[in-house]
Amino acid sequence: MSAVLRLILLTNGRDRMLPALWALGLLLLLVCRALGGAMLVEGREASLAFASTTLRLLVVGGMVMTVCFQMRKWVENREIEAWLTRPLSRAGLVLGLAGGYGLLALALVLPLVPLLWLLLQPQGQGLLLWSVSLLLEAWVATGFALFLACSLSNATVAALAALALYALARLAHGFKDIAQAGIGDALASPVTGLPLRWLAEALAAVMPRLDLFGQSSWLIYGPDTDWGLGLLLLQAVVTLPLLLAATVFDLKGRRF
Amino acid sequence: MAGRCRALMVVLAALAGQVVLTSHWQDLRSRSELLPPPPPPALLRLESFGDEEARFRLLALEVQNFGDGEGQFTALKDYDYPRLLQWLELLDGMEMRSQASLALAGALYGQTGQPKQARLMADYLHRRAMSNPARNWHWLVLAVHLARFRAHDPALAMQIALDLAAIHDPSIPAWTREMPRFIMSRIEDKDAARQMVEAILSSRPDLAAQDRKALERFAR
Repeated sequence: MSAVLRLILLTNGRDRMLPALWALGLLLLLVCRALGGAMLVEGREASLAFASTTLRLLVVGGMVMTVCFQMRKWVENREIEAWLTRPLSRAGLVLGLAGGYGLLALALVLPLVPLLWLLLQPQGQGLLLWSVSLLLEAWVATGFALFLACSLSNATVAALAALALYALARLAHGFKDIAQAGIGDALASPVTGLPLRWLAEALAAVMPRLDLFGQSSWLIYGPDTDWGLGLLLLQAVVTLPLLLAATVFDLKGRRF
Repeated sequence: MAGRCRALMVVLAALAGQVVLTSHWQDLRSRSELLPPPPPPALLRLESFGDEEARFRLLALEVQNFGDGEGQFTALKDYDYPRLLQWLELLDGMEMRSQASLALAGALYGQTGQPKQARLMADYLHRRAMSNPARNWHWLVLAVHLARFRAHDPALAMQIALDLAAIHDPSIPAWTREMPRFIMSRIEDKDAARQMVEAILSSRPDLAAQDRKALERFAR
C-alpha cells in the first residue's frame, strides 16, 4: 500500500503537476483581485468571493483530471495488474490510491491558503474553516474520480462523469428547492410535476451535500452559517467510505 | 518540405479568412434586454452552485454594468427604474450585510437627471439604510441630498432628515442631526454634495479606499 502511495507522489512530483496548478492558482488570485477593483464598493469582498469559487474549481478540476488520466495510464501500462501480483489486496490497492491522491490534494491546497491570505486578507477563522472545507471537498471529488476511473474504460468520459457528479452534488439541493417551489411549466403540470418532484427529492437524498462546503461568506464575514466543520466532517466521513467501498466492489468484479 | 509549405499556406489563408469575417461582423452584438426581469430566488440559488455569496457578488457586478458593455453605454434616463428597484431588492434578499446595493442606488443610479427616477432611488436608500442605521447612516445623508436636489422633493428629504436626526447612536456623528436645517438652507446642489461627502469622509475613516472613491463620485 505504501508503495502505491509513494508512486503517486513521485509520479506527480516528476510531472510538475503541483507547481503548474499552484502557478495557475496564483494567476487566478491576481485576476480575482483585479476584478474586485471593477466593483463600485467592497472590492476586496468581491475578490474574495470570486477567488473562493475559482480556487475551488481549480482544486477539484485539477484533482479529477489527474486521477482519471493517471489511472487510465496505469491500467494501460498494466501497472495496476503488476501491483495486484504482489501481496496486495484490491481493497489495499484502493486505500493506497485514495491515500496517495488525498495527500496530493493536501499538497495542492496548502500553499494556496497563505497566498489567498497574503493577497486578499480574508477573515482568519473563516479562512481556516474554508481551507479545511476545500480539502474535504477535494477528497470527495477525488473519491468520485477514483470510482469512475476504475469503472469506466475511457479517461475523458470518466473525468467528465466525475465533474458531472460533482456538479450534481452541488446542485441537487437547489433542484429540490425549485421542484418544491413549482417553478416552470413542467413542474406546474399535473402530469409531469409529481414525478419530477419525486426525482428531485430522490436525487437530493442520495447526493452528498457539497453545496454546504466552501462558502465564500466565511472568507468575508467569518464562520456565519448554521453549519460548521462538524457537519462537513460528518458528510465526508459518510461519503468517502461509500465511494471507496464502491470502487473496491467494482475492482473485485474485474479481471486484470 | 513542399507539404509543409502547403499546410502553412492553408493556415495563412484561414487566418486571412478569419480577419475578413471579424471585420465584417464587428458591429454584430448579442441582442440583450437592457434590464431583464429579475430571476426567481430559487433559480439564483441553483445558479450559485451552493455558494450564494459568490453569486451575490457576481450579480452586483452585473447590476452595476447593466446597459454598458460591448462598446455601448446607456444614459441613466433610459433605464426602467421600477425594474431596477426589483433588482436592488433581489440583491438585498441575497445579502443584507453588504453595502453594494446602497452604493448602486446612491452613487450610480441615483445620479440620474430625472427627478422621478432620483426619487425612487432616494426612497429605496431611505428604506434600505434604515434597516441598520448605525452602519448605513452615511447613505441616509446621501438619500437626503438625492431627495432634496435631484428629486426636488423637499417633503421626502425632510422625512429622511428627520428619521436620521431621530437615531440615537453614539457611532453616528452629531452633525447628522443638523440635516433638517441643512436642507432648508439656500445652498446649491454641487456645494451641498461636496459638503456632505467631505463631512461623511471625515466621520468615517474606517471606509475602504474604494468605498471612499464611490462617495467622492457622488460629489462630482
